[in-house]
Amino acid sequence: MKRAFIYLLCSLSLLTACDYPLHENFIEVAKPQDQLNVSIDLNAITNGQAILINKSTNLYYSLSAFGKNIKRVEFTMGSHVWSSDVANANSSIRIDEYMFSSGKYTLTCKFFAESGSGSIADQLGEEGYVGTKSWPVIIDYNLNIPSTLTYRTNADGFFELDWMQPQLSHLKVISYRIECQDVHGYRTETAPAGSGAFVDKKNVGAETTYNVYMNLSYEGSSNLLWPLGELKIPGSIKLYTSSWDLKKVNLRWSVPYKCAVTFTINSGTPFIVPAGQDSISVPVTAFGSMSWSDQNEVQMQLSSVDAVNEPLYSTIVYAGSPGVYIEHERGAQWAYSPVTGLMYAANNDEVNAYKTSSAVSRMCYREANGGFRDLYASSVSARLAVSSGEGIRVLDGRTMSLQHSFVCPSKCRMLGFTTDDKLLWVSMNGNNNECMVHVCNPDGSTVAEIPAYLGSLEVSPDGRFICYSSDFKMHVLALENYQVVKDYIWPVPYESQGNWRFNPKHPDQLILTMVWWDHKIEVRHCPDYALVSEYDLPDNTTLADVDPLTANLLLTDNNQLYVRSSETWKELFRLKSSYSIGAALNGNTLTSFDGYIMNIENYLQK
Amino acid sequence: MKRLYIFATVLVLSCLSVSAQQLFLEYDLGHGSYNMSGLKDWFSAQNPSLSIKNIKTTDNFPGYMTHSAKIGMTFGRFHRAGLLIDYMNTAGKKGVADYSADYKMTFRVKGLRTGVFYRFSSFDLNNEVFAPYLQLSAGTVFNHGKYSEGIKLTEQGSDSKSQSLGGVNLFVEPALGFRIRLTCNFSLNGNIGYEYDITKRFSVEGQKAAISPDWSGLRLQGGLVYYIPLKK
Repeated sequence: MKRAFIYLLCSLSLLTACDYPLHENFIEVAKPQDQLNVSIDLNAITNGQAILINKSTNLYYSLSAFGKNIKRVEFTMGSHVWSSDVANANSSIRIDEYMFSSGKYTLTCKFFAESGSGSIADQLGEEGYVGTKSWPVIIDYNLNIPSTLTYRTNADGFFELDWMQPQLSHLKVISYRIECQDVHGYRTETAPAGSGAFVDKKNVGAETTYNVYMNLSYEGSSNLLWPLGELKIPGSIKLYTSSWDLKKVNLRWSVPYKCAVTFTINSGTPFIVPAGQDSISVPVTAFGSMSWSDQNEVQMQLSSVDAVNEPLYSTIVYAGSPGVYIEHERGAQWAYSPVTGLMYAANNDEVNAYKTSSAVSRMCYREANGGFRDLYASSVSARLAVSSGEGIRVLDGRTMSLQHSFVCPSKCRMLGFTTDDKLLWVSMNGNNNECMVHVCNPDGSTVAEIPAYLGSLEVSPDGRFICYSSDFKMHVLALENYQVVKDYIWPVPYESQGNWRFNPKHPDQLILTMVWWDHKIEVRHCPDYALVSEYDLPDNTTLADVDPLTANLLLTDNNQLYVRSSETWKELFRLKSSYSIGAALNGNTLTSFDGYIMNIENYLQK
Repeated sequence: MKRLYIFATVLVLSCLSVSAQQLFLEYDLGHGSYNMSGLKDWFSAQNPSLSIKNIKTTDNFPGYMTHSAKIGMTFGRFHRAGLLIDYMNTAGKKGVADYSADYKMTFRVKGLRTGVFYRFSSFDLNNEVFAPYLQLSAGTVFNHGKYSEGIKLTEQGSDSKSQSLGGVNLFVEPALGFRIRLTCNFSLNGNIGYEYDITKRFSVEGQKAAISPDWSGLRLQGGLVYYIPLKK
């Protein structure tokens, strides 16, 4: 039995041994070297030790194993991992603000490079080199990192964009690509490798955004484009009214870089101004309107000195009105303070203070959703009062700071300050033009309340008289300590009642504009109706305003403005004006609805 | 099936032994060529699951060594019959290897042939030194196949998958042979025949496979016969 078992085992062994022997297909492949040189280039801003990041950033990287294929790249920073199954040795990682708070981090790059031996394991990606490299990173969203691009005006007067040469290891700069975006479009320029500057003769000073890229060569092929930096250069071309008189308006321009300047006035023949000239004159047309039809059309074109006929920048201004145009004060309410000597303009959410001589804004009071409407300046203090949708703000005209604020009914309007610095405002009762004149201190506390009517309501600057129209009659209320002592009814027929203003210099005089067949201005004494003086108005001439400083009258016939003395009726000043410009006169300064402001003090006849 | 097969074998042996004069045991070593056209076509169409260069077919189901054992009886001077059991195997292989890894796809096929044979000679098989004969064999081939694909990395380990197949073929094999008597108990034997597989089948997990082994081909064998007298 034992022998039989041995025979059986031997038989099975024999059978097994006789299985068909398989053949091998062995390929001789050279083994790869033990270590690999790897280079990593990062497109990052550093301080010499750490990468600096102050905003969401695309961090470009390039890995080179010098001929070996990079199979996997994985970046980690904090708990965030950037990895890709698709190996890409040249790509970028996005560092977003919402992903990383400010702080210090370590950016680590792990990579796997294939051996390139061609062996089976290499073909399967199982044979290669693993490496790691780290960089310290400082993220500070408040950090001010200087731009990699700077600019200057070079010695020849042209715009020059400058940059630092990048420090790269395996990448090679082939050229620099400069993309320029300005109001006239987009263009691309090229600077050679090794250059750190680009002179852009086509930049004449308009707002331009430059994006500079590096054309890079990676392992012999030029297929990488890395951003070097972005720089937005604000426009610095200026064309403005520099000075004016009653015959001409001088336009001055400033251009930051060397260029040719061409002007075309009223679609006439273009002319190139000589180098060094920086101003031209155009004739005065009319005061007060920004409408192009009332002014000279002045077109300024800038072009490269090398191609004068190819404009690179063009702008059109309309000039002809004397005075200064303040675009954002269109529709503003103006007031003049004899105490500060400044003009003030209330417009929407701002109250601005201007020097009457230059009309340059000095200070500003701003309030969100202010909705400012009426503006008055005190004649005895530096106070200003401006009404808004919610109430009245009392400002210090010197500092433009808020002194007092108080609420008044929504249907109210201001009447101004009295010579004892009381503030007058009126609230509507709703029926039959009945109203209440409120006399209050600057802090809003009530001094008195006087019933009156809204029709042409005026209060004398000294607070001694109130004048209004009611039931076709003209009432003059005499006040003592802001209490009505007597109601006078003046014999002015209703059909002749135009408008009236109290004389700022003589508060007991009322300046009445008489209409219908008595087309004249009368100055009458209060309360006795005694005639002080009168002036026959020319046809179509109306009283536009009374200067609160001088009591001079501003008259207009819609073609010209006239300034006359309310005492001697002498014409002090005359100026051509556009039609219906909403002219006003404050402190010898003319203003118009469109935002023109013109001080005429030096032009007034003595 | 197995029970039926064992029962038939015992029945044949019992019947033969009734009138048998001599029992003999025979072992032959030979070479067989195998058709295997179905397997060759299928195997050549198989693509490696890994993308590796330089893969080459090194073996494509070639003919190979056979082992054959017979137990039979002598009836009179001219007739002999008995049972046979043969072992055949071949394989196909595609692959490539280098210092880093060995990747291969192999399909090894084995056949265990069992059946009956009948041998006739016009010469006296008991007394003549040289006696040519005719032989007819028939029976079944129990097939076993194993397809495997795998890679063995020198440093990172290995990975493989395999699939086993089974099945049964029916065959007949006519053959022409001779016997040379050496002593009263031993003879040399040689024959050449052709196996034809009537049915061919491979199955995977009880389901018939689309491929099947075809062992049809020439058989060239030679061996030794040992005689055991039964009647004195």
